[in-house]
Amino acid sequence: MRPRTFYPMLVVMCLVVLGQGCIYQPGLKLLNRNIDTHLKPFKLDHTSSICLGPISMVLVRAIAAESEEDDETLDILKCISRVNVSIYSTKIDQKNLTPDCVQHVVSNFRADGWELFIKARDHEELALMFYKQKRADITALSVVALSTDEVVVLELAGDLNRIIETAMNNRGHSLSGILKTAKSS
Amino acid sequence: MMKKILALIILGVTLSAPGFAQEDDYSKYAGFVDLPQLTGLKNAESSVEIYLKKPLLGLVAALNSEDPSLQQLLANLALIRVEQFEMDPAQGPEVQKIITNVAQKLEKQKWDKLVKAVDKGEHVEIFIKTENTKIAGLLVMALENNEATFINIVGELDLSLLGKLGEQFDIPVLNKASETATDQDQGGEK
Repeated sequence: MRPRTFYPMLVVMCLVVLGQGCIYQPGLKLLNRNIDTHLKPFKLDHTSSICLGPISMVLVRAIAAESEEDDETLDILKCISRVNVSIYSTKIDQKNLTPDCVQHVVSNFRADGWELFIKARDHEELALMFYKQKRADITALSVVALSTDEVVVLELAGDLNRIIETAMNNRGHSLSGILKTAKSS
Repeated sequence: MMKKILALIILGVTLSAPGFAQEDDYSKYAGFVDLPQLTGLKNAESSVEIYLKKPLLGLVAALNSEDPSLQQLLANLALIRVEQFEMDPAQGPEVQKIITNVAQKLEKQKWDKLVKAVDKGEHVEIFIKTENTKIAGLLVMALENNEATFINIVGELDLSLLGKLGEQFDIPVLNKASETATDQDQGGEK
């Protein structure tokens, strides 16, 4: 391959790889770095991670539009620039998931600057939604879903204020709507 | 020069530290109700807790630029906390006991009872806290259809706008409270 075509291709490939969000993710992996400490006393084994950068998000939006997702989903997807999903295997005994233990986990997150927004429990599953703020802006949004054998950590980056605005706007700021969403999640 | 920088750092830390300390210490607000009695219910098979604090309330306020009164109301609030538990019908009496205990505690702390409705396993009580002639907080406790809901709104509240808040967040029980408060006001004027 000639250098004239090789170098531009190399630059394009580098941009694609960086754009996928797999190497450089400003603002993300905030939670994953300390997840073991946050989720003490549970022991976690990292199994897999998926990182979606701006280019992948364009594809996700295109797929969502093709599959005729509702307007709310599409509006929210427009505001998300990066997504990081990490899955950990664990063994949590249902009887260990006591209110005190959950409160301890929430306190660990709070000590690291994460603010609890929603805590939803349904039988053996627990979902915690956190945000980080800087003055009036939401700077990070995360969802931690715990079940007896798996922990899923989702981190979002993008215009997070707009994500929350859109979610609330489309639901008419309905708390009952949020309650229903939290339950269904 | 170094002394000036050091003085500025010390001043900055001194000024910011109380702000950080107060930010989440809602117990300092007269309208905040700590509900340790709910710990037992947190073992319920299904439960949802929502905490809408200043930055999120600010976002909702910003969305309501066309309604300045509601925007002002939201700007004056410090916290909206919702705790909802889905439970076994057999737990109904336990929840009724919790509601009664909390109601007794609030009455001792000079909260005003706005609504009390008890009917066939359903129990709703609404309290308001007044501070310096202004409403500083509201607590709704409701047991309906095997669901126990506790809502604590902390911050300066205008009762006439309570209905708007109910519509905004789709909390019908707040509309009921607003109607009752308006009726009581009219009754008082007569």
